[in-house]
Amino acid sequence: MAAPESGDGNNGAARMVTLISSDNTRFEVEAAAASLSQTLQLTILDGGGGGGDGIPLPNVDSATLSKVLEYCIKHAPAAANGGAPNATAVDRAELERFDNEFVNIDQSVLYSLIMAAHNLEIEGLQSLVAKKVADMIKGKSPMEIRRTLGFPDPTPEEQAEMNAHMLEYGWAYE
Amino acid sequence: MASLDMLADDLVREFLILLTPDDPACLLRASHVCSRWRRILADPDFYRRHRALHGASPILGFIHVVRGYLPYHSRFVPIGHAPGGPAARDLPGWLVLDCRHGRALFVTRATGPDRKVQGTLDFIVWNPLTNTHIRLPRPDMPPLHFRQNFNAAVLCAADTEGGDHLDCHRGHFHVVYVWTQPPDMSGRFLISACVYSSVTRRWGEWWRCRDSARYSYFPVDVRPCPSARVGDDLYFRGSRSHMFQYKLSTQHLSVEQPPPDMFYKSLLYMSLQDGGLGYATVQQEPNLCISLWSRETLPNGDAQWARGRAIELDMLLPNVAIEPAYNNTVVVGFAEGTDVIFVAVRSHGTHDIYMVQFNSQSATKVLDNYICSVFPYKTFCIPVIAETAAGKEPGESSSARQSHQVAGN
Repeated sequence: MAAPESGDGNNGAARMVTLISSDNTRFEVEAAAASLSQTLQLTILDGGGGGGDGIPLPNVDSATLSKVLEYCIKHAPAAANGGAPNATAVDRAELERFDNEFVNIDQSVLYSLIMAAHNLEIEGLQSLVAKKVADMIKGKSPMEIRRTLGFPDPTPEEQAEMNAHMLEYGWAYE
Repeated sequence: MASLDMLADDLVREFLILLTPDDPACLLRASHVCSRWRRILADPDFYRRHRALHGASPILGFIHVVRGYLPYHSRFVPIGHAPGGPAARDLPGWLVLDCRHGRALFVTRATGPDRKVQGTLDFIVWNPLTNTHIRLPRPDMPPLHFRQNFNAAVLCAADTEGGDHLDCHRGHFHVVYVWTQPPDMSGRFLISACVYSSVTRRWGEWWRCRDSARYSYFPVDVRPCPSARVGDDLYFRGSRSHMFQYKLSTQHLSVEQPPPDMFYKSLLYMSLQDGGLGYATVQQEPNLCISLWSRETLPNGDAQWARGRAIELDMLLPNVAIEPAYNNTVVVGFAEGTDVIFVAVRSHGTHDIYMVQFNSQSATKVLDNYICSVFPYKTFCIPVIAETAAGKEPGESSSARQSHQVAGN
């Protein structure tokens, strides 16, 4: 049986797709990297995104999309190998270093990434940002958590509630 | 500016689920961030997922009776290095009877008019996470008395109703009280049970053991000794010749055959990880070992006890000079739903308690100066759920909290 025409690697050159951000910036990226997104994968398998068409992503702005694609490009080779089995320890360490560096961002970028990872269904990125937020919560008081995650200032009622909790559960605040 | 406050519940759940149960303080503080997080954390579905991801809650500590105090004095001792659990706490005047589903049960000297009847006791239910307690109304049958043989168990009300533990965040609980009454006119001892429900805030009907007539003297073991909960049944230790089975759904109390030829004071009934009834004991054969037994039902309906795993104490505690008599070594506690049992070992004239993990065959000394059973404490629910429950706990008042803080000093 013949390989589908759109198959990767038949002629050596990787297939490229174009993604269009909400502010109309065009990003050309390898299909393999974009396919880390479950949402995009089907469209790409259908042959979409090639040539002059491009796939519009009305929910993702260009700053966020560029960040997301940085992640996808870095993780695409490992994902193509079916994850980690064939990766060497060095490769894995490098990816880990990349991931740590990647999420070293302020909370508004983190927010956009969480939304994008969710909308585009990029599983690895979803786990990575969730883990980052969990780490940001650890060891902090409720007020510190609110500040770190960019919550608005608490209302007087919320503040009173937090104070009452602190008094009641003294052991958790020592 | 975009803030993580704007994320939908689904996305908030994705990171809250990653907070681990070995740091309950972190989960608790997260629940105080805002009412929305509190609601997400307290949701039974969240708890179900959390448990599937992280496994059962770790043992955060245990409660034991402190030697040398009259009449009673119990103490909560934290276990492990996790900073996120409740701290050590003295509970003067309280005698621990049970600890299950995030709550501990005690008796203490009665207050009020009945205090004049010397020796009358009250039940206390304590939540270690919130350090709040309530004193239960006194049962109106024969007063709970220190000279009476009795035992009692506390469990989440949802559990008693055949639930799957998961909606226990409603915070209701039951206390099952089993006692042997002094002989009636015919000289027989009567064995009875009664259940307190925090839903109705009263004790239910008083059920007498239907088998009572067949037995002349079958006391409930008077020393604090944990009951085992297996499915619909609670098992209480009796003596060499019997044990008690209490059916939660039908409130039926019966006398059962214990394992044969056992030094009963060294055996502890427990629920096995496969869900059956078992017990742990110490045997000399020829080396001293802790062994687990499980009850099997034969085709004719009879029960038999099958020996399961065993650990030689010499292997477990190579550096401890154990005094070899087998009755010097006693199984003193177990943690439901885990492979952990507690064993008291006599060495150099003192009884030390070790926490033994059966699967990894490892032991850690957790206490010296053993006098009776210890009661491991796990947060049955993740703390925020217990916390939500505590806020709604029926009958719990700020005065109860204050009086406890006095008691806890």
